[in-house]
Amino acid sequence: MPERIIVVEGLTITYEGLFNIRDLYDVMEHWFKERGYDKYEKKNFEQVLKDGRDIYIETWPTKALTDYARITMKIMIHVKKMKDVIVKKDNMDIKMNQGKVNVEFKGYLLTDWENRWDGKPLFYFLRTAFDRWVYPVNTSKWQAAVAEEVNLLYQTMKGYLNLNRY
Amino acid sequence: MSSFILRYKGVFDLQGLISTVTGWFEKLGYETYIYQTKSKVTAFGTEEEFGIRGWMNETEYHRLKIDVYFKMFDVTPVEVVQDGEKRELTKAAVEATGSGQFITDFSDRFEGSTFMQKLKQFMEKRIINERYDTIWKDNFHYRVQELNEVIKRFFDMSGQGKYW
Repeated sequence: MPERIIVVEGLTITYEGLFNIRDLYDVMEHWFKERGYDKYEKKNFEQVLKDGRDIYIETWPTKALTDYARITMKIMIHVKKMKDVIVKKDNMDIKMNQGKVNVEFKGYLLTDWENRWDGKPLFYFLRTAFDRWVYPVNTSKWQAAVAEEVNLLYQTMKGYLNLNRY
Repeated sequence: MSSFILRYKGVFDLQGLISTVTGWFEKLGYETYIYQTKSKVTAFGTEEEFGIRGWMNETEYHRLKIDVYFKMFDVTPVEVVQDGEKRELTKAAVEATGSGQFITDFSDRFEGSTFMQKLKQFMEKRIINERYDTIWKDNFHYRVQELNEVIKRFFDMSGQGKYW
């Protein structure tokens, strides 16, 4: 089994107001596609309730850094009490959504994701020894890459929701 | 291998849902069948469980199998007037679980002896591994994700993308 190191946890965006859910989703998907991630949408829940729609989306995009290390993210989008509203902008009617959005980001580094070093006890020992004494420099580089990628996505989504402060 | 879970609560066309999924399978050349496992009447409507399974032998050695299992709770028929036309739709809470399976040696040709099994392992690990991992398994993963998108589009769910 690959080893999973938690690099980013507890990074959250909270927003309440006007937004467009399709655009928010597209911003995220486009970012994944552009950066070479594989798509893996695990959960997508939607409930139509009296006070609006409740949506929960959980996606696990992943990208190989090397044959040995891989970035995996867990993005959880939770939208509550979302209603469709029509907004007038430049004399044009634009369909938008209003509600509460909560996006949580987690970043993981997976090592030996192809299970090449798991087959035999000797291999497992060698892998542990390499991780301990030979690879720490690389591992910290990979961890930094995970943190950077998650942070970049966080900034992109924050930018879409106009939450950046200058 | 690849999997997804979708949950939706609202009004939809049940027959349309079944024909959308089976139509998608047929379009890609899969053989399909629908199996029903549960139909129970409760105080809030009925509970229905059924699955749609599609499979295709992509080569003589490997088979792709996709299974979508629907669990529906509080199923009640509702009449809706859409564009001046009366339509009978279904109101329910739906959970759709999709999973894809990549089956190798589906006709058990390498199961005859231990030697053949070892040969199969060697072949999959050393000879055809790259073709499998980088082409077929990847393609298959995206096919399962595409089915996920098709069902989301059918329900007109908010979280649906256009880039994959």
